Order: sequence, then structure tokens, then C-alpha cells
Amino acid sequence: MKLRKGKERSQGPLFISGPVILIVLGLVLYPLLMLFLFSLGINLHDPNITGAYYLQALSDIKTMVALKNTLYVAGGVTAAAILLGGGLAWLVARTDIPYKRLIEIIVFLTFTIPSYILAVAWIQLLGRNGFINRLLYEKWQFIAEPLDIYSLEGIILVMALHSFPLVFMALVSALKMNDKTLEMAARLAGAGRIKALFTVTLPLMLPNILSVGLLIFQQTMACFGVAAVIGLPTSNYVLTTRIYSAMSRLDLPSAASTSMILLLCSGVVFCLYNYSLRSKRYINISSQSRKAEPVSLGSWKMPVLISVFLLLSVTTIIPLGSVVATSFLKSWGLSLRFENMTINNYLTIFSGQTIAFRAFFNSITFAFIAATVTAIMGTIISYLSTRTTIKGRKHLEFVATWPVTVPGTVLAVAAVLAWINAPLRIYGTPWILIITYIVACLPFGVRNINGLLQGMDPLLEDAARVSGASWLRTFKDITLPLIAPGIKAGWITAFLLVLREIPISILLYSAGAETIGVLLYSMRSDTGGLETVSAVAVILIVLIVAGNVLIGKFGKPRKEATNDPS
Amino acid sequence: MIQAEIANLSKKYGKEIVINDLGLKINKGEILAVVGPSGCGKTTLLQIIAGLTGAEKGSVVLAGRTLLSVERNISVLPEKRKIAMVFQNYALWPHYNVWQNISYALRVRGVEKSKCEKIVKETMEMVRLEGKQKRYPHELSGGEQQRVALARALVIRPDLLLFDESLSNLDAKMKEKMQREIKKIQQELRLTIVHVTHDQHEAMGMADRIAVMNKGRIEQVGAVEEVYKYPVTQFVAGFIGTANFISESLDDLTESKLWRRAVRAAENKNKNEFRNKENLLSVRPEDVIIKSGKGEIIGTVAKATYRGNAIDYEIIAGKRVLYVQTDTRNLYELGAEVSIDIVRAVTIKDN
Ligand SMILES: Nc1ncnc2c1ncn2[C@@H]1O[C@H](COP(=O)(O)OP(=O)(O)O)[C@@H](O)[C@H]1O
Ligand SMILES: [Mg+2]
Repeated sequence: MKLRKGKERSQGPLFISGPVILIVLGLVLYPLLMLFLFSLGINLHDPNITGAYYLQALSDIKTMVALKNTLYVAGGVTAAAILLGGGLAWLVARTDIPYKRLIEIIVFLTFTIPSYILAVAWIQLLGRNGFINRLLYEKWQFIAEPLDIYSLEGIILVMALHSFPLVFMALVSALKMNDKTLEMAARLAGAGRIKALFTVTLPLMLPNILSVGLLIFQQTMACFGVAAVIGLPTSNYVLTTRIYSAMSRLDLPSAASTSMILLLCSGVVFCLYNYSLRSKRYINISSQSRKAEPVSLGSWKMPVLISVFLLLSVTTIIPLGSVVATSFLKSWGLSLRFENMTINNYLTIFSGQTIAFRAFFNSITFAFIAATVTAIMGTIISYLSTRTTIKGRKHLEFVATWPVTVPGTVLAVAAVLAWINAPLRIYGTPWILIITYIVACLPFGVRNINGLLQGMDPLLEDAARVSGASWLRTFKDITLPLIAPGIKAGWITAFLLVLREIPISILLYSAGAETIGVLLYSMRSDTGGLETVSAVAVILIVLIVAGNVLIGKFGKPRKEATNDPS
Repeated sequence: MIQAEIANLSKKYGKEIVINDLGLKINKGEILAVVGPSGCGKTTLLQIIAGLTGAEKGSVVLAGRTLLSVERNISVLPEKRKIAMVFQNYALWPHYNVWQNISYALRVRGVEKSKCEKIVKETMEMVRLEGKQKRYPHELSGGEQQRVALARALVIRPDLLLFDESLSNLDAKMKEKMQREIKKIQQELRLTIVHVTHDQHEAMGMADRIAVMNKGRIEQVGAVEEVYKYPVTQFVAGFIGTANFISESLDDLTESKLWRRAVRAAENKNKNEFRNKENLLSVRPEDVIIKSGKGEIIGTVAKATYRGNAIDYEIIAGKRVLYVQTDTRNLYELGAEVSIDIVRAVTIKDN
């Protein structure tokens, strides 16, 4: 189908493009520009502050250690996630392992658990007082020393378990699409099953593995919540937590320059990721590729199946069960007996008096506003970029989708620098939170809608114009209903993103404007409050699963997953 | 009587000139086919007529109303033009069912409900879609989708109906049937239709007149048989039907014999034109007669294609290939020697 792009006819109310461009520039570009200038030692408001912050940051051994830790963690997570997700994907896509659908569902469920909650669950399991240590160390004396989650490896463990579903989902679809006749040809040519896997299947999958790996690498670098809850107690810093601790010392120069370092790393990896997506095309996806016989596991079937489910219990079922169980406990540390159970943890959240209730109320309000603004702006930006010929429309789209590469921690630092001085002072009000959420969500709004608009033949709109409908009527009758799935998907994505967002929340909230993220974060220690956090977590997971089911129903399955913002 | 007139129309996309000073008159109540190769600007022309895209120069007048005049800065919005269009891929709205698709133009015009129902019902009967009103586009066959697109265009009884390659996606049998039906509806409603296509057979099958378009210009307009019999340019002769082009040759004996033979057979108004070296003669395959045995001009059969009602030959004569069509009474073997005669030729401009 031939798509006509530019049209020099009435393109609708183009006057709207002015305000939208201003808003996007103001919300996205201005804070990042302030961050950049500030990190260079240029302060528009206080010319006295100058200095080579970069030099300071780079010569600061702690920053370098944090950078090294960041790369170590991101690398470890990427490798582990690829091994775990890739192996599982191959089993599901290419072998005759039973219960494929069940495996897919469990993996998807893992994907919906916010990484921060997964970290809390693993602390419950592996902390000094955790279930596993209590069993292995105290009860059975199976190990000489209790396992220690509070380490860089602990971060890697949690993030890898959080990330492997991305690999799994990407590779299962790629493996299913990939022409299996190539693999069969290799088999016929005399290559054994294993040899065919390593000489044909793996090289063909390499571009897919590379791009999903880069995505995970970038997301791990941007991750704050897990690194904070596991790393901070033992002073294992990565860049995001280093920025956070600089912010809590009110050391803005250090926070800004470290942010720039993180922004740069993350941006580079994201560019590589985008590049890998584009150059992936050469993979042979032939439409008449035959369904190959799945590899028969033979007598290995049962052992493999049991190991897979053991693995999935470790990755998903046990942590999830632990969170759910804890959410019903009277007090963390009690054993799982009926007399220790209560639903009070849930009741407190909804009682209306507690901070937990306020956090829920605030988060839902902010999420609603941010999601709605994002959906509206995403619609307008996508429309301008795909249906009009105005100058700079592609740049507008680029700027609006840029924040996807910017870690939440960095967005928050930029927001502080941008909105702390009069007359633009909204720091200390809920508006700075809302605005920064909007910036973080905007890419998903634009992308979800843009995809649909690009795939929609403009002739459908032309047909309505010729039928006698005005521009506005055409937009209402034809365009809007057809992009509605994208708008809904964008809205839900943004809504869920705000609900579980942590770094922006804790860096920008003010008294009275606490959010779920703040609540989760403030109750992170395993000394108290874990029961309530778990209850909040359970509600959050239910909302996320529901949201994803809704998106799945409304929109087409999306190719890439959203960032986990915690 | 002229229903629509397009004058001095020019349009560029970037540096590329897509419509080049084009002029065209459309008679009331006729089907005018615009034929031309892909990329010659047909769709762009329709889009300008419908107001879906602008132009750099020129004017469009429909039923006495100026719809576009770049010089006078007039451009009527597409929804105000009373033009309907059937698009190449039908462009049916996937979220509307058949009834909603067809009635849309009436609904946006605020036509009263009972009247709207009546017109839609009539139109659906006309295109024989009765009983399908609840279906969605993806539940229809290609032919049915085509009918919905047609009905959607017909409901407003437009001043001008535009078809953009609308029959191209149908198979040959279906195409013929649709052509007959469209012709019938057109006569019933006395519609004026511009039918754009790259397929000469499709154009000839339905049209009263043909306009041959090339590189953004109309090269010739005329009744179907007139354009076929008297093409004015080499492009038209080659695009509408098949043609053998013969020019005067000094170094090839067979070629100069053919030329002399063609000149004698030429139906021409001005014999002096032959003196003009720039001119060419165009000879239709059916105007070349071949016989077995010796003659003044000799050729060899290189290829024969049986068409059922005729046979197409490719004959090597001297250094060239002649396309010849004969009836099926005489068959010639591959490699057979035949004598060649030309019974009709026309002069054309060499471009
Ligand atoms: N929106 C556009 N932007 C740029 N070039 C275009 C656009 N639409 C058409 N063209 C160009 O104009 C020429 C004519 O296109 P078109 O009118 O679609 O031809 P046809 O319908 O005869 O195949 C082609 O070369 C095409 O590439
Ligand atoms: Mg076309």
C-alpha cells in the first residue's frame, strides 16, 4: 500500500502546533539544557558558582567506582538475562517441551512485577532474616554463612531475574519467525542438533540477541530502586544511587555532573540499540517458511521440564508468593501460620487516615493527569509528524521521545535545576512531580500513537474529506477511532509507569505529595513496614497485570517493552 | 456540453514536475478514461481535482464553478466540491460497517434520516449489495469491497466521479462484469466519470473517450477507436495497442522496402509529411499481412503465440522484428519464410 505523506492542503488547525512545540521544548529540552549548563559550571541564576564540575566528578574516586559498578552490574545482568531468557526461549520455540503456554504466562507475570518489589521479595528471601536463610542456615545448618543479598551480585541477581522476560519474549517471537528451513538444511547437511543450534540458529538470532541485550544494558544502567534498596545499606554505589546520595547531601554540582555521565552512557547505549533495531532487517523472514519439526527432547523431556519449573519457581513463583504471603502477615518475621494472618495491611491502605492511603490517592491523581496530558500531547505530536508538512515536525517527535533514554534519576536532577528558581519555581509543589512524570511518559504516548498513524492509510482520511466531512469531522470520525487503541495503550502505559515510579518521586516529592514510590522506598528496610509494602506491592501488581491485559486487548502486541521506572 | 475543464495545470513535488501544464475537458455524462504508465501523475491529477492536494499553477472548473484557480487564489475545500472518488485500495473505513460506510457522506451533510435510509437502500440495490449492510469491510470479498466503495461514492450523486485504478485489483472476469455494471449505473444516473488506469484494456472496455497521459501531460484525447486508429505520437501508438514503427532507412534494404510499402499504405491527410525525416510511420500488427512463399519483402517467423481468436507472430525482417497479428485460418511454422505486406499505416510524431 502506497502511503502519501506530504500534502499541501488544509492540514487542520495548525495553530495548535505552536503551543505544543513550546510545551515540549519547555518541558523536555529546557531542564536537560539547564542540567548540561549547570554541569559545566554555568549557572544562569548565580554567576558566582563556576568550576569544572566534570573534573571534580571525574577525579572523585567514588564516582569512578560507581561508574565501574554500573558497568559491572549492567554487564552481569545482560549476560545472565540473555542466558536465562535465551535458553528458555529456545526450549519454548523449538522443542517439544509441554506446557509452553503456561511457561509463557509465568514469564510474562515475572515481567509485570516492578523490579523494586522483586528486590524487596528477594530481601525477604535472602536477607539475614529471610525465609531462605532461615531454612538453609538456621534450621538445617546447610550453609556455613548466611547468604548475603546486600552486594553488587545481589543487584545483578534481582535485575537479571527482572530482565530475562524481555529476552525471552523478544527471542521467542524471533525464533518463531525465523525460517526454520535453514536449520533443517543444516541438519540435512550433517550437522548435529547442537551443531545446528550453534552454527545456524544462534548466528541468525545474534542481531536480536544484540538489540535486546543493549536494551537491558541501558535499562539496568538507568535502574535506581533495586540498586538503592540492595546497594545503599552496604555502600555499594552505582551511578544512579550516587546521584541520589549527592542530592540528599544537597551537593548539586556533583549530582549534575554525575547525571551527565550517566546520561551520556545511557544515551550511547540507546543509540546503539536503535541502530541495532534498524540494521536487523536482513534476517530472513520468509512467509512460506515451513514449520519445522520441533526438536524432540526424548527421554530428557521430564528432567528438562522439572528444571524449567524449578527455575520459574525461583524467578517468579517464590518471590511472588513471598510478597503475597508477607502482605497478609501480622508482622514480618512471623511464621506462616493461620493465627499470624491478617488483612489489616490492606485495610490500612484504604482506611483513609494513613500515609499509605494518601500515597495511593496522590499517585493515582498524578498518574491520571500525566497519562491524560501525555495521551493528548502524544496524539498531537504524532499527527503533526505523520500528517502534516510543517517544518521541524520530525525534530519535535525526536525531542518528545528523547526522555526514553534519560534515566528517571537524571530527569529528576534536571527538573530540580530547571524549576527551583523564581519565576519558574514549582519545586516543592506537586506540579514538579506531575511535569516530570509527563516528560518521562511522553515517549510512550508518542510511540504508541505514531505506530498506528504511520500504519494507517491517509487515503482513509482523504475518503472522508471527499465524502464531505470537514477536517475536524474527519479527525473525530475516522482518525480518532482508528488510533484509539494506541491512545489507550499509551495512556495505560503512562498510568502504570507513574504508579510504580521511584526515583523521580523520591527526589521531587514534597510533604503532602507523597506517592506510592515514596511509600515503597521509605519502608524498604526489613525491620518494619514490609507487610504494608507487600500489600501495596500486591495491589500494584494486580493493577499492572490488568493494565497489560487491557493493552493486549486494545492494541496489537507491542514489539518493545516499556522501561521499568523504578 | 462541458462538465469540467482543467487548464494549465502544473504541480511539482520538490523539484520533480509531476503535472506539466496539463489541460483537459470532460463532457457531461461521459466516461473519460485517463491512461498512462505508472508514475505519470494520474493519481496526482485526481487528487488535485478532488482538492486533496494543491497545485502550482492552473485551474479546475466543475459545472460552472471554479474549484481551483491558483492565479485567482481560489481553492474550494475537498468536502465542498461535490466530487466523489473511488480509491485504488477502496479506502473503506474498517471501523464502520457497510451501511455506515455508504451512508457517511449523507450523514455528514445532515441529510434527514428517512431520506438517508432511502437513498442508501436504493444505492445498495443498484450495486447489488442487498443484505450486506451489517458486514464490516474485512468480512467482504474484494469484489464486494469494490461495490461498497462505489456505493459510497454514488450516494451523493456527485457532479464528477473519479476512479483511481479502482478495478485493478479484480480478476479479469470480475473486471468485465463491473465495467458493464458501472456503465449501466452511469447511464441511469447520467454521471460524469473520470476513470484513471494504467491498463489500456480496462480503459477501452468502458470509456467513451480516452486521454493518454505521459510525464504529466495529456498527449492525445479522443474517442477510443480514433485514438487507436490515429495515434498522434509514438508514445500513444505504443501505449494503446501494439505498433510497429517504421522510419526511412538508407542502409538497410528490407527496412527501406518496408518504409516505401508503408508510405503507399498510409492513410494520411498531408502527404508532404513523408518528406519530413523526423516523421515515423506506425503500423498495427493486424495491418501487416503475411503469406507463405516469395514476395517483395521477406521475413522469418521467430515466435508465434496462439490467442484463441487470433495469432500473434514475431517476424524477423531484415534487422528488425515486426509484430504481426493474423486470424487463425493460416498457421505458419516457426522458421518459415513468409512474404510481408502492409495494408495500413499512419504517420506519427517522433518524440
Ligand atoms: N506525496 C508525494 N511526495 C512526493 N512525490 C510524490 C508524491 N506523490 C506522488 N509523487 C511522485 O509523483 C509522481 C506521480 O505519482 P502518481 O500521481 O501517484 O502517479 P500514477 O498515479 O500515475 O502512478 C511519481 O513520480 C511519484 O513518485
Ligand atoms: Mg496512481
